[in-house]
Amino acid sequence: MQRYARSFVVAFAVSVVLAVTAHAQQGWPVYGGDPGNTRYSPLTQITPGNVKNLKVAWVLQLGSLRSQESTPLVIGDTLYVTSSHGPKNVFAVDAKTGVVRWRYSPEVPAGIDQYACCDVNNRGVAYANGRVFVGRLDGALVALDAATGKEVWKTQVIDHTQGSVITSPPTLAKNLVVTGFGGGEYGARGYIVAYDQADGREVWRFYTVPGPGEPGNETWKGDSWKFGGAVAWAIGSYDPALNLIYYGTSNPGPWNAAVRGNDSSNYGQFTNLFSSSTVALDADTGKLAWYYQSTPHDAWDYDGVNENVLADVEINGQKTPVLFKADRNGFFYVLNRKTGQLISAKLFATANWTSGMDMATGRPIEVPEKRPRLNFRAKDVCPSAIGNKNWMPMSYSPQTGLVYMPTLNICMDMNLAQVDYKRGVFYLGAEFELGKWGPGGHLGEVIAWDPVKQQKVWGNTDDLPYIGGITTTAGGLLFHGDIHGWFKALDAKTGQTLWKFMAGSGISAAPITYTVDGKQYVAVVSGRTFAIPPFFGKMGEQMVAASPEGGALFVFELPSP
Amino acid sequence: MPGAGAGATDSRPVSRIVLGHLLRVLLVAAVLAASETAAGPPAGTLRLCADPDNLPFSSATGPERGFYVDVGTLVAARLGLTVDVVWWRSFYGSRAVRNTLLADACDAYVGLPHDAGYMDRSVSVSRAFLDVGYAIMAPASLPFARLEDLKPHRVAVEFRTPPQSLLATKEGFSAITFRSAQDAVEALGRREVDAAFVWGPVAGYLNRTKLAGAYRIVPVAGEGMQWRIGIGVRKGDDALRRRIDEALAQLDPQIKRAAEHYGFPLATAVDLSAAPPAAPATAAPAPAPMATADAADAVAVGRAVFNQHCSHCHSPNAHSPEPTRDLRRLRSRYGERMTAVFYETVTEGRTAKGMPPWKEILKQDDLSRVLRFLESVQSSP
Repeated sequence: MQRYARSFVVAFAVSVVLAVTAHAQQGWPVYGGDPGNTRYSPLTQITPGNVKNLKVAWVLQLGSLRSQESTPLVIGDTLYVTSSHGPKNVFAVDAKTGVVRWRYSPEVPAGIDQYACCDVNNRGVAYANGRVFVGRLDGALVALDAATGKEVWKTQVIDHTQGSVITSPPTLAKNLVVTGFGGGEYGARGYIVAYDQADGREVWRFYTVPGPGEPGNETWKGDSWKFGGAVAWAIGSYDPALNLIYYGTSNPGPWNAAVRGNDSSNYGQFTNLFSSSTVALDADTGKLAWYYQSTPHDAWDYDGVNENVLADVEINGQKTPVLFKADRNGFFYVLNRKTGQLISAKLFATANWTSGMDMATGRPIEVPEKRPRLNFRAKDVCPSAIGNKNWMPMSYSPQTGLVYMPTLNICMDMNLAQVDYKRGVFYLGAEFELGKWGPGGHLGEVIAWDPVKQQKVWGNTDDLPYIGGITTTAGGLLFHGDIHGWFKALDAKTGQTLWKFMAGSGISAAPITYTVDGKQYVAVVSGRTFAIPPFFGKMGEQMVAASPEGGALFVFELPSP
Repeated sequence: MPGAGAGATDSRPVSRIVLGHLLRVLLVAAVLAASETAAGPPAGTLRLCADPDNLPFSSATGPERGFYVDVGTLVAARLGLTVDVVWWRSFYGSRAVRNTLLADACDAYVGLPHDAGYMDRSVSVSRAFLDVGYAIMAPASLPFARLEDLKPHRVAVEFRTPPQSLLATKEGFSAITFRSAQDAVEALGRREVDAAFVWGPVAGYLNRTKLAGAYRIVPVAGEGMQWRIGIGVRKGDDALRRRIDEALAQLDPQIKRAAEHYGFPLATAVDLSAAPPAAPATAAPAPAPMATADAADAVAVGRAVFNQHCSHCHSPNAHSPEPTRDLRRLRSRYGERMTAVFYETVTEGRTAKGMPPWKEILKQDDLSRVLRFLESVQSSP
């Protein structure tokens, strides 16, 4: 099978490996394991043969409850991890013992959770040159001294009282620290902004909604571009060789598409660029290199924020720099990451709003009765507004050549709300029913996907949604958690569960693996989500009932021989 | 949408929760009374949840405390209680009711929509005490009788509101979008726009406080434009809700004065989509009386009775989106039998479908007024 042999580890991942193996240390330097977000570790000590012996090495209580989404970093022998709610805490701990070296607990304004659309999450920090960078719910980005946890600088990215919060770690490129923010529902005009790592000075800013006179502004009706959303609230990727930064962007605002265009599957010019897209930016200037829009004139809340995973694979006999994206809208996209050219796109889960991809235009072929419109309720639309895949990250293993995705099987009834905010009078909901069971009765599935053949290799279904993020290793293993609190190790080839551990509270966050002093550890944060259940009625009640609130980092090791 | 069961449960149990609440109020009252020597009115507390920074509706920092706090204070005084405001900052109202009223942090929340679909599994809303809605604010030098008259002009709208949607879906309007009504009105004050089609209470308040009342404000009728507001209590606190209802019924003049104090536009909403009505050409003040105060008009009274007793299932003003409950279709459905079907159904109920019998509850006079009101809203066949 060519999938084992013909895949290539991206160049920077190789260099990271070479740099650290000299010290017998393999850290976890960045949220996605590498700047290309493969979440693939070359570590091999833990194998399908011995994984059943994993046991807890230490536990860190994070000091906050619910919606833990943090990926820890390991730099040298220090592990950095955040809690939810602000973050309430950033910890630097001894990666072997869990002993706390410092704790950063910023003052976050009271009532901050009013401004976060989808609970008080934080997904972790970024690290470079002795600095730890933290994006906060209050719209601030801070640089901490990695040795002491003291603030070195702080800059205000966005006014959180507009409903814009920062939940994801920034992206690092050369001397820059780059971030977006949330709030696509609340009238933000999205931008991605770069600061100098040294002093927090703004270097460039790219508006994800073009202003008057800029190409793309004509895709917005009237002056709707002013509050057009398209925010980049999730994780960026960076390719140092091409010097390009990749971000996914959210849905356009407002939800009511009649304001942004013609509220129709025949949307004409009103595609609402660059919402629900991937944008590739020159890291030095912030200039747009290319864009690809996955859901033109979105009406479903199909954010295109899902992480872009960078890999070099063989396409038609040619080694090609690609990016993979498992979009909220149900398509698994393979793009040439140098040019933005669409190579292939296939549906990876139940999606009925589209009948497939028009490869000539690069646009999904819509099923008009599945497009929610003003005063038209589209029924049994799949996927629901949270998509076939949400923020929980996938992994690409160059060893197996497969992508491993935490997917969702949920449908919805929806029409576009005309009425929303009336100062002093409360929002009248009931415009949609987001939580309808998808076909088959399961709500989640871990899918192993061949990205070149664009087909499923195996799948493990789950009764409830929100399977946690996924990490794979050169040991042939796949790690992920679920909302019940199970943390599992699977055989990456077959999907067979080889080991599992009850963490006590649901797991959405993605695991990591690292070595210190030559010993391999696996770590994951537990703390059941509350981001989605409030929107999901009965399904949400089941999600909440699946496990209690929590907030702890579990670190596992093999027993010493 | 409200389920059939929601309406049914509403009239059913006066639960233990209510008794618990009354008990608590009475205990507090008893304790306070015992500590006082004078035989004054029973002292107790009505805990009111409100946003600390939401003028003209509520403010923790004063000097004005806001219309909702004033209304809550009026109601509490009528009930012999003192108000304890529990401040809770909210954003688009999200989670506020869940985190306050439903978490028992307060007893009542002023300003919840009097709408059958509003949190009807957990919240019970009193009779409506005010109509609020979107309005067009313009200088007297810009007369308009129909929406079309605004076409040559720059019209400010708020992001994510029905006026924004309305103008966006009609040809030929120059809408300019602002994040908030305040931003829109300030732009009007700077003459960057010619008119503002925004949330009426905010427009009225800013007109009064910042713009010397220089602008005319005309409430606009239409889908999603006007809302009736009441005071919400926890589902099950129906005894408290009934006491609030009684208090509100006696407070109409004071509430109207409070609304006028904050500059709320109180004129009857005008349908600007229709053929030109009598042009409301004169400038600001002279607000028309509130619809509910017009007791002489049987249709208006019928509407009020309907909204108090029937709207929970049949929607405010009978504008039900659910065809089987849409009483605007009575004529087209029953023709000449409409009157007979109305009386039979209302007095005897259709219990299998969740419609209770009303003969013990509504007086004959009220029934005939409700019928008059319904006759006035029948859809054309």
